[in-house]
Amino acid sequence: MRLDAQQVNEIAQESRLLLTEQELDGAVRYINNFLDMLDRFKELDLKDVEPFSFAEALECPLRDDKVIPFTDTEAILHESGHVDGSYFKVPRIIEE
Amino acid sequence: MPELTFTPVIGIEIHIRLKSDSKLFCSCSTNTDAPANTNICPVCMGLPGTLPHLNHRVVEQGMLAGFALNCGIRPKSLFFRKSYFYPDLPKGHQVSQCDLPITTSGYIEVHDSDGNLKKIRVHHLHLEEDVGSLHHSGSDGRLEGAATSYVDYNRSGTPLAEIVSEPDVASSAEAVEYVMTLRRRVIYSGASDVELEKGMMRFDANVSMKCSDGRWGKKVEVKNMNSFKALERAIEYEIKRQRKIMLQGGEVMQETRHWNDAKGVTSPSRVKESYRKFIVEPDLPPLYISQEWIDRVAARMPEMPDVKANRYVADWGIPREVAEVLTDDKNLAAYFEGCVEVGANPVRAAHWVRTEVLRVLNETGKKIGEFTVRPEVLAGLVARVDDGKLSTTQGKEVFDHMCASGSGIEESIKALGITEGGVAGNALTEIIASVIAANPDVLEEIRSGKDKKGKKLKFLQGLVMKETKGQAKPQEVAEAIAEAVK
Repeated sequence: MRLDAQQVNEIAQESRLLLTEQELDGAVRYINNFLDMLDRFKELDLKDVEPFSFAEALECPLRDDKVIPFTDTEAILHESGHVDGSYFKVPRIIEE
Repeated sequence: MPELTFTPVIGIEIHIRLKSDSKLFCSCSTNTDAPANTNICPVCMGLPGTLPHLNHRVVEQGMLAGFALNCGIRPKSLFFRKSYFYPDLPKGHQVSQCDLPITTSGYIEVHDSDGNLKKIRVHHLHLEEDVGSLHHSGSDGRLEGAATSYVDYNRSGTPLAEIVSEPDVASSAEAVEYVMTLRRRVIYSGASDVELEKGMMRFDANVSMKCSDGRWGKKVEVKNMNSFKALERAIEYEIKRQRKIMLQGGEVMQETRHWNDAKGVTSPSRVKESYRKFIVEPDLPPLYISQEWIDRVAARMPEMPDVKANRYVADWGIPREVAEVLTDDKNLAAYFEGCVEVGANPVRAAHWVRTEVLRVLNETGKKIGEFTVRPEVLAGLVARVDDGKLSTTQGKEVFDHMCASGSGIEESIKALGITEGGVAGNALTEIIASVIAANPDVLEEIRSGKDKKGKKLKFLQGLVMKETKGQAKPQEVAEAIAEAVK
């Protein structure tokens, strides 16, 4: 599987990234090298191998349903440069 | 040429807020009514270096909701990151079980257009986090014409169950019955309160049309319905729209459309939804659920409303329509069963709850949990009416008095001046004697045979009934007066 410049550009736009021609070239090459490497796995016989996502046999840790308020919400707001009162500001999104 | 017929093929996706005190992956409160951005923390804001920590209770709520939809529970499920570049989630992805969900398939039964039961298959239920809320006006309430939206992340990270049906729904009526039945069952399970007015249930519908000439229209996803009525109207609109296109020989485009409730139309969504790719959430190892845990949660499942209604009909002979009203609300059903438990006749008690209790709740705008007349008290009142100690009218007066004053049966009977068992025997004879004594001219007319039509007798009966405050049996009064004037 390989991606062309247009597909990579679409992904970039989804990610709100503006790439120069040169950066796009680099990204296409980088992604396709990676996909080529993944293609090499197809040469292996993996019929009887269960897919796994974690190298270690971990179980999802669970916590009790207890409210512990985070007290420094002001600090989180402060981290953003786009705040109005207690709201975060983002470019206007219109959806009718 | 035979007339073309169209069969709608509809699948429904439902998001339901699961009941919990804290969010899905962090300990922030799920109270979304709090001032903006006060229930947020580094975890639900996706700040670097934080780790999600799964809420034990939400897993159980998901299991309960799954049981309510006749689903099985998967011993192993997994969380994914779904790419999501939209500012109502600050992380750039939504954590969702989409691909390996907590439940297997299930079903909900509805009635088709012929009134027969049919199963709408549930593909699965999965857990995921909700997004924040966007406001298009300023934080100070002013209308914002400028290029800014405002985000409140209090809702971001609150737990949702997404329920995906198979495309088994054939009409807007089936769709509404499906979501209403599903909602009632989920509320019974305790997994969620599903308060519609608080936006705890939202719908998307996938609508396509099959034509009798063999053509299949493309699937259109309709979004943004948050009431039963909106779901019904949006589906009907979309059926008509697609039918028209296909009748004219056109092709329905595969697209996402937005329901505009005010205008009553769907229109193409401007938000592009390509590249919704998944990766396994590396911060959340697989969720393992043991059989022992499944059994423990399954044991908490109460009797489901439809099963309960069937039992009322079969065991107690309650009319189906009444049984369905009583089981619509879990607490109302519990109230009614409370009456029966202390010995009330089930059919009588059912009618009292159905008519009188619901009437008072309607009038006062209260919920059954706030109702002051306890089931055992209502049972006592029903028994007195059954025994003939109180007439039905008196029973209702006592009931209304108890509701309004908060007093018990005895007090209310006393306050209303009602004599239990009615006025009869010596008491009645005395009243009749005094009424006759006060009306000697009437007596004279009757005795002289002038009252051929019995009008004067009726006049005396009326006076006596008035004196007894309506507590004597009319038949007895008539007979006793006839005897007394001889």
